[in-house]
Amino acid sequence: MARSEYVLRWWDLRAALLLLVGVLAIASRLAATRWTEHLQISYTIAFFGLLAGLALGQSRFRTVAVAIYSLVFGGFVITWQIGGTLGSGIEWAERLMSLLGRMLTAVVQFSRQQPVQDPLLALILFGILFWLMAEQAGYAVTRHADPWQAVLPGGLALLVIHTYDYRPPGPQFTTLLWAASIYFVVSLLLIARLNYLKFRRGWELNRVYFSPEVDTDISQATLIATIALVVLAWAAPLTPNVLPPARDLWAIASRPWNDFRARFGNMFTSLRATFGVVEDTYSAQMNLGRGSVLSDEIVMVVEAPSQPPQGVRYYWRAWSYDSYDSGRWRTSFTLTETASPDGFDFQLPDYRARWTGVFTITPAGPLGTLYTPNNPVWVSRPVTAVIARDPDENVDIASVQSAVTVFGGETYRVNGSLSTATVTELRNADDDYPEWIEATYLQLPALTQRTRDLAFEITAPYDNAYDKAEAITRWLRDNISYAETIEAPPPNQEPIDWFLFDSRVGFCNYYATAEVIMLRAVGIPARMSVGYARGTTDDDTEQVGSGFREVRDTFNYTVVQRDAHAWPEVYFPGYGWVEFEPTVSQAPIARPLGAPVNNTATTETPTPAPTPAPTAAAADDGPLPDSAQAAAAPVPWPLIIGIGVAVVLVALGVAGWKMRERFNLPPLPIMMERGFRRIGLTPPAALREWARVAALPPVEKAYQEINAALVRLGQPPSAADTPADRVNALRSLLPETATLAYKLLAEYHIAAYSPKDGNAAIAEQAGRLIRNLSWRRYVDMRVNPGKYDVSPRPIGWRA
Amino acid sequence: MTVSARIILVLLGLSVFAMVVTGSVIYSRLTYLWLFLLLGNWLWSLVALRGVTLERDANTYRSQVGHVFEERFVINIAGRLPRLWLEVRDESSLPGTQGSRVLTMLSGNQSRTYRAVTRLTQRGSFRLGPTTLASGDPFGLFPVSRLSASENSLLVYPLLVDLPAFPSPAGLLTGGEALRRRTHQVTPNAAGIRDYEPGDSLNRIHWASTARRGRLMTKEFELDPLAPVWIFLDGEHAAHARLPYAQQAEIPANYLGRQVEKYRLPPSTEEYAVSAAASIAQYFIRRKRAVGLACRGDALYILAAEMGGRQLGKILEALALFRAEGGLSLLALVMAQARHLPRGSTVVLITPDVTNDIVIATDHLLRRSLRPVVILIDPHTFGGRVGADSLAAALRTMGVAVRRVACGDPLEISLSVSEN
Repeated sequence: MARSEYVLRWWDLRAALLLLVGVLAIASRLAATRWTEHLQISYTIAFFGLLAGLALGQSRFRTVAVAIYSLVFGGFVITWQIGGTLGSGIEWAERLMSLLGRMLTAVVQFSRQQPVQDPLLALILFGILFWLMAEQAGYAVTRHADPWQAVLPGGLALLVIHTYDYRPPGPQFTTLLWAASIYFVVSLLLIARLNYLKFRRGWELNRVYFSPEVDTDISQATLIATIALVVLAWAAPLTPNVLPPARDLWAIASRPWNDFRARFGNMFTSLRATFGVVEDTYSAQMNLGRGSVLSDEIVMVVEAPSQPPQGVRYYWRAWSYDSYDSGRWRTSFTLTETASPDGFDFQLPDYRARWTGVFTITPAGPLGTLYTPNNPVWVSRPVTAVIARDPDENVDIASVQSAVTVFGGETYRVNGSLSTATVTELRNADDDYPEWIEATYLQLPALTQRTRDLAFEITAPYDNAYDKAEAITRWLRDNISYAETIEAPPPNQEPIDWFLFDSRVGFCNYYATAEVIMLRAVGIPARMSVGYARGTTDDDTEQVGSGFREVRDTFNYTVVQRDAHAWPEVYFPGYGWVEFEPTVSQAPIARPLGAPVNNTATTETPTPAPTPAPTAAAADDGPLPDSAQAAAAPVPWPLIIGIGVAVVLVALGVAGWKMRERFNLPPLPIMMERGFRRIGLTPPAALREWARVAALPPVEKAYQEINAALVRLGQPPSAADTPADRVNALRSLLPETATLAYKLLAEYHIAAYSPKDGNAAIAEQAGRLIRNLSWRRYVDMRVNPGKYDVSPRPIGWRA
Repeated sequence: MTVSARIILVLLGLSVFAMVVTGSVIYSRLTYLWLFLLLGNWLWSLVALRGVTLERDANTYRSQVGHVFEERFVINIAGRLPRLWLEVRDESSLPGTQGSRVLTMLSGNQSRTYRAVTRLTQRGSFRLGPTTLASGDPFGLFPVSRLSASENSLLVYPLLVDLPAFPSPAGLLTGGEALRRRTHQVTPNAAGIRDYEPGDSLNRIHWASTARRGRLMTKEFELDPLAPVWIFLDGEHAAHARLPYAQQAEIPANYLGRQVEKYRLPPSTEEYAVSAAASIAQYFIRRKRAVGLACRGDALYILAAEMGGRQLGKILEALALFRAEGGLSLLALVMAQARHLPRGSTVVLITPDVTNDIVIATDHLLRRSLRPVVILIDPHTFGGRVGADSLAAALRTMGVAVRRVACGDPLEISLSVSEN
């Protein structure tokens, strides 16, 4: 690149500062909308975009290199900023995976024309737009000193934001309006500044002396004039009135746009939802409810170890409840404690027979409550846990809440400590319960006597907690029918009493509650946990079979709404909380018998039942089915593939264009025509004509504009007409082209009838102007049909 | 209308449309903003040059290369309206002109004066002007300008150096030093004629002139005759050479009469030759010799030998306009003009030509009883391929006085001192 080209740059500190104020004003206007969280990232993105634009504009890079650098810088900054919205303390690898997952989820939702719940897509879009706007502004200033390229995109963005951020008239609206005026002040100052810089460059080139005070004088006067203009415009007393005809006209004209906007409106659903996007299925309390038919909509996908120890059943817990009364569960825990991935230092009890697995969870929608296996010992996100402390300061976790919303597609990891206690170990567990456990988990509501009697009756033959719990579990599975929905319990009857003795039909909430209540009635601490059952995996069929099984470290469990579940957990001293499965729609838990300890008598050895393959009919109901949606639409692969192919074609086109320039390849139509012939096909007539014109020398190509203009004006030339005839004809039709046409004719004569090439620059310029003038006349003829004589005339006549 | 003004016009239209369609306040504000911007700046530009006049003058319109030329610009503002900025663009052909200025904050009914100083680096005739007055609004929407035609021109003479000595070949008559003095005695050397005055002898009346002019004219005589000096300057384009030249630093626009760098001749045989011719002419004119000039550059200049300051002026003017762009060789010029020169005249040949033509020309002059002096501008030192040493030696063997001038040599020394 020539040195002189490098010198022609327009770096100016004052202009850069004005631009900075301008882009930050737009960013602040966006942040003021409060459309969603984290809009403040637009400040940083705009700041760095502007810096990049200024630097790239000042650099010696060519346009293509600038675009590549901008893409790389912008990609980095936007990713960095949006990744930062996930909160602190998360590893970047996980952040990136989470972003990718969220984006895919949002794209899938969008392509299915579903409302996109996650604001990520909109946030990314804002980030890209702000980056492009700021980068382009900086580039336009330092490379071209073009104020309009710098301020128009920003002004448009400001107007769009202002239009869509509707506020009723009032002080807030007025404040925002005046805040918008800052951008216009800055824009006008920038226009004036760049105009001055151009003047100054001209003065320097023409050796016009100007003192340093010139800059100050003009800047001061411009500042005063600009502020006066904007204040005058903003304070003008007139108020606008809508003109109905104009509005109607616009309504008609903007119909395609409205259709388009309606189509893309789903992308911004999350913005309208603002902060209410998180709709957790579970909360700190839960009613037993009546149940509902749940869908197969995916809730999350969990990557879990494929070969857990025998007897371990995966449950994805949201909450554990300790207090029950009249059909409602709640947690009495009031303590909360935060923890970050770097310092997840909850002091958990040191239980025996535990196995720790690593679980990677990808929710499909935004989450506040994290689903974890019990007990979570580490979470990859900053969390707030709802806990209780025992006298030894050990922590009992009721629920884990993410400090920052985890959006659909994000990924978080949990290390879960699951009980692997064998039947023997649990039978021989101590029955001396800690006081705080008894105080918390033996609380009973006003039970009916027959419920207590039933509990004692079922557990009477057994002398240890495990067998008692297993007996109640089995009794429930054997004697209670499963139904997704049930009648509401009579208002004057205790719900569990009604469930156990009258209806004998229910879903998981009732099964689990009944077991917990009866266990507590016989003095065994138990609690109610809610969340989701394990879900399904493609490997399930092989897993339950006895044949060949592929050795894999992990399986992906797909958890759907239908997997919403509740289950009882029983406390065993020294072993902690152990899950039981009384709901008949779920497979029973088969624990290993384990080695006998001290010849403890085993009155009954439960036979592990084979785990049935979950089916839709066997799936459990969930307690809060109010967000059920229609069955998921299939992924629109044709659309995705089509878009991918289009992107590849565009990229190939750009690359081909660049290669053509570099390797001096023939024009595209010629290559296309050759391609047709190479494969034995006759090229279409239009392509042949296109290739013929493309192959012409520049002067002759310019001459074609005369023919095209004649056709355009309704006087197509015949083959017998000489170039001079055509020029004369054009002159008679469009006298203002006469000079240009004769110039072009002269160059064409030189090129066609002499050894010289003719002046291509003159010919091309003349051709271009003739084209413009003829188009203008063509439009005029269409608008005013009677204004011109369009009757055919002999073209060969000499004017 | 500039691109910016068109864009604002479009924005105004869009804002009006958006205002009537949506009724939004912000569009009405923008409508007013664009409207006020257009109108305000149009009015600003309208009055920017109204009532503004410019005068420019200088103390002299004759100067010489290396000198500083000073010109005064006066801008008068009529009316009470102030002007934010005004650009005075001096479009004169004078190289390095410093007359262009930007003036700001001009009050109404005010005159603003500044002087522009320009170091003259090139000989020739230059027009002083035209001058453009430009102004406009601060946003560059409606720039305005007005052109004032040029009225004066500046003639820049070549560089003159004072020569302490120069070869002056002996004439045809013997004697001591010539006394260039008029006398009432009748000598064989008529010096000129004048109007008859009472008391003049009748035998001194020049009857031919008396008859032509219709009044009595009296002859004047000199004590000793002095042959004229003819300067032949080589204007053949092919003979000249030059080196790439970096322009000397110009005088800053805020020059306040401080010492400026001494002027150096450009490394061009043409400039050295012209300057040598001018300096030699000045040398002989100062010594009361009649000096003539013959050269064929872009035009043919033949100035008959005369004495006096007026003759020097004419020679300098000719040399100021001389351009070595001719096709006639010095030999041809000498052949054509030598026959018209009085015998015994001193002929100074100034040339960068180092071909044998110069020997032939010198020989031709000698044969015609003329007294040649050759100034060789050594082309080799100016980027030419051949040096002048052998030619100088050949000429010296012919008994001709030779001065050799190389690039960078001070002329006053090179022309005064013989290398022998």
